Amino acid sequence: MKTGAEYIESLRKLKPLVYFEGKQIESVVDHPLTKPHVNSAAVTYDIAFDPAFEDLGTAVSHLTGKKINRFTHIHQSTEDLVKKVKMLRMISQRTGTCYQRCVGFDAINAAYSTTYDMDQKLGTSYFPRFLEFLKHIQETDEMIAGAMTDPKGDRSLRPGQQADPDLFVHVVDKNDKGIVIRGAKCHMTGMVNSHWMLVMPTTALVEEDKDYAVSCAVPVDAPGVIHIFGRQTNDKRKFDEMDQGNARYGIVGGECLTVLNDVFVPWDMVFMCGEYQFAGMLVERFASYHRQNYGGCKGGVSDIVTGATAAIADYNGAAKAAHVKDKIVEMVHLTETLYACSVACSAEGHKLPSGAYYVDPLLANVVKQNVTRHIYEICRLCHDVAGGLIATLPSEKDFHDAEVGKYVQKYYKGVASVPVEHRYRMARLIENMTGGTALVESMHGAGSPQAQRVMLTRQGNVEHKKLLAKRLAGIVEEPDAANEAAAGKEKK
Amino acid sequence: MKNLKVGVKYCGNCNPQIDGPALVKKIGAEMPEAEILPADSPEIEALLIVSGCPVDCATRPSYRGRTVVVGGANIDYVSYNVSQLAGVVIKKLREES
Repeated sequence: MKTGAEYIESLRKLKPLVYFEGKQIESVVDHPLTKPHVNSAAVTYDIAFDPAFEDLGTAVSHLTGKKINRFTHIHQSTEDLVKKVKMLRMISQRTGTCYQRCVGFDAINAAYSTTYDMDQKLGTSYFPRFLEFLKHIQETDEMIAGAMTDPKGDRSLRPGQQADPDLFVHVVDKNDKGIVIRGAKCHMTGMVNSHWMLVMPTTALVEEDKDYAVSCAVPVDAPGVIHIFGRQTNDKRKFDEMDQGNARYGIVGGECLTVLNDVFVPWDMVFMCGEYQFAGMLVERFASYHRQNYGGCKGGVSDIVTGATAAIADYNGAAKAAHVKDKIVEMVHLTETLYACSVACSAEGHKLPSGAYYVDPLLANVVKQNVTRHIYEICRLCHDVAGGLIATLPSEKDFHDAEVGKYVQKYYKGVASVPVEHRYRMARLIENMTGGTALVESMHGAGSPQAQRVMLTRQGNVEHKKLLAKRLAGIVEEPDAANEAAAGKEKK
Repeated sequence: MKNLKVGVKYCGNCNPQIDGPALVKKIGAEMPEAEILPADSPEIEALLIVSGCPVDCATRPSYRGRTVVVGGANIDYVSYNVSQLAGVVIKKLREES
């Protein structure tokens, strides 16, 4: 296993092409725009060495029997699934933001079980190949970015129907040594400070789109790979300190657009190439694992938002007001609702043919659907209690300015016993965590709300619910369709 | 001649995606050599575990003998069409007897 410092040092050896505003970022470890995200990911490494957290932060590899960082583990039980959620909450409570590594964690778990099922059904040999890659990751503790979301172009058209065929990543050439892929992946969390990306299809596919059924591991600095770093709300504040709100760890996951310009991938790193029948399974498993996370990671983030709200109420002198207490109780209730659902989808997980464990996909999708709503409500309550200063505060430079600083400090003073800088810093933390980029991530990270509703439609078991209602209402339908299906009878 | 004693263990059926009792009834009808018994019968030779959905609560705590595990439309963790379930279970019980 690597420590956080060893992880950071290992990034210095990579040479990814990362651009921001037309200029290349020479070192993601040192550049103010990317450094906070590196720091955040480094926490996932350090927890594995801290006795207080190692029970959650580590696991025993089912492949080698060695102690490994949990982010490289394949879930072997429902206990593993629950520990994942607890680990994510614990890390979020320390970073207050995304630490990016769950995406690759979910990608390896989805690819593991899907390559196994694919080999069983089609006679391919992807699973042993994937195992070798997984062993390498467990041994080296390298970070993987899960690369799923394609640009998608016209959403009403399939990949092969797009005016530009590159709007979904696809295979453009193959030979006895490997394949060549072209396209791009959007919103790539943690990509610029990972070692690898695990490319996956973005949607279920049909035979006509089999060139788009591709999954493979690619070094982030492979020839032909270009990363264009995304803008964030207030990102130029990364050149300040106090005005960032969370200077050490930043906001969300340092997302980027990753362009794959005819990237060569050797066969031993290819885990799907043309097996369109299994694209949907890989997508669904990845999405469900990823949606499982959100009551853990957003639960931890919400713990901080709740704490910040209570603290600024103290600083404002409003903490004893009944409505403030009630709003903080509501924030706790919403946070624990998110968390409870993540624990539930984990506890209700089940074994797959590969032996790996999979979350309950229905409940995992409920987790994420709740996050698209409850985080907004938690942040709304926070804004309500904190006051308008979170959006109107003068700058850090004016706070410290020799001429006007005394006015800023005089007129932003709250309760007399609390230093004005504390109130300023807490307001900035709230601004950072509850608005702009951070809030949108709750809506669209791990899939937009409608994607979850599609899954809820498919797995809601409404026929069973209709049966229950009909039984109570005294309605007898003979024979019952569900019973027929279950018993394998032909419908009359 | 009934020469295979099969115990059956159901989950609590809180959210069933299949009708487990109907499935077992069909298996019993199509497998004349099988005697269907409660799961706790001491003489059983195989245990058919029937959970209404893939969460597969009936498997916990795990049974230490021969099993065929139905969890919704999965049999031994592999997914099938519901119309195939009875046939696949019978085949597995016969193969393992």
